[in-house]
Amino acid sequence: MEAVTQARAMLGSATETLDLEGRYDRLLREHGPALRRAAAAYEFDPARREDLFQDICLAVWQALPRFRGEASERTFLFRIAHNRGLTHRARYARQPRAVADDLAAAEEVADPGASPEAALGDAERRARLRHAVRHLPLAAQQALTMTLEGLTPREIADVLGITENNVAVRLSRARRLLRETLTAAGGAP
Amino acid sequence: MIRDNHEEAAELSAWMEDWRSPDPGDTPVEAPHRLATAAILRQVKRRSLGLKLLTAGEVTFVTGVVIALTLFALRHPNPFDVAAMASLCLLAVGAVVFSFWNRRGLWRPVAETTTAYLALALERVRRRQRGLRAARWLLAAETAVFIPWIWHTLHPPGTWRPGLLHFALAYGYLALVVGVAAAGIWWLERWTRRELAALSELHEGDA
Repeated sequence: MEAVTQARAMLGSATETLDLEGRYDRLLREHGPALRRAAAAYEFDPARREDLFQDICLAVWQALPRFRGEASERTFLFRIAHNRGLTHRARYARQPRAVADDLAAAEEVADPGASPEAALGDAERRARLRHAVRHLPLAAQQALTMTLEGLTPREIADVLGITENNVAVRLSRARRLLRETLTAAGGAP
Repeated sequence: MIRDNHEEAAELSAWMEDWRSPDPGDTPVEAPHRLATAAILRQVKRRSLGLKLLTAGEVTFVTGVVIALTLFALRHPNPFDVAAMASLCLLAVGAVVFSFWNRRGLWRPVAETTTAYLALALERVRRRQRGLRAARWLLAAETAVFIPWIWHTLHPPGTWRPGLLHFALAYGYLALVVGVAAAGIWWLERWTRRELAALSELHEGDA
């Protein structure tokens, strides 16, 4: 009888692990690119950005067994991503940042002799947006990046532990700053 | 400038589209991270405990061996026995010191990232390979001590002389022990090579 109980427990444990791996796989497939972009908002240096992304993935894997669906999956993932991002930023705050940025890369490929429409191609416009978002103040940046990922104000409030009104204030400020930065940089607001 | 809601929604929508468009430098996120994270994290954590237990076991074993060899040398205080036991003690202590040195920096990953865990797993396997190479030399050195010591033990002072059976039993037993140890080392080396190949493959996938 005890052997049967043990076998059932082992089977249950194996099924749980498989289920966990399946869930992790699906989460990463569905939200991996968004998590990578969240990491990109916190880190300029491509190598460190990849490390941060992996750190987030690891944290998701570690936290997944405790996730019982109290919040939406997106809220769960973004909370981890932003917490890891903050820790990462604090860890590397005193170290010099790599200046190699996607904006610089985009500027290198932009043809200064071409017409403004041609010069400001899709790639450069995206690079300007990412560059501008990364330079926003942290509170504004967090609200904006999650909005850009399609999170609702309620979800953003859950991730950041603030009220929806506060999210709206931060978002409004973020949009104004982003618009100003993009206009000053010569991009379309 | 007054912006109406429609204009603001269009602006946000354009930003969302630009923000979410894939970066050409991005690598796929699914398989390598799942594999590396799930398998490596579990393995590294399990082996961290194993490494601590192994180290504690080695220290206990070597302490026991040194005590036993010392007691033997005290009971048989002739120069040959003392020299042999002292040599074995030195080898045992040297082995445990080497083992500690060989495990430096292997206790935990340098960062909480998959890459760091993977690098640690790889480094542990490489160090195990080095440890196994050292184990071959240790086995050879111990055998080199035991061969003359057995010969000396089988030629005690007095008139008694051992027969061929005594030699066969004593050296046969030594050969058996050395053979089992050598087979164990060979098997571990083979397993380590396979593990190294698997981890290197994962590492390449993760890079």
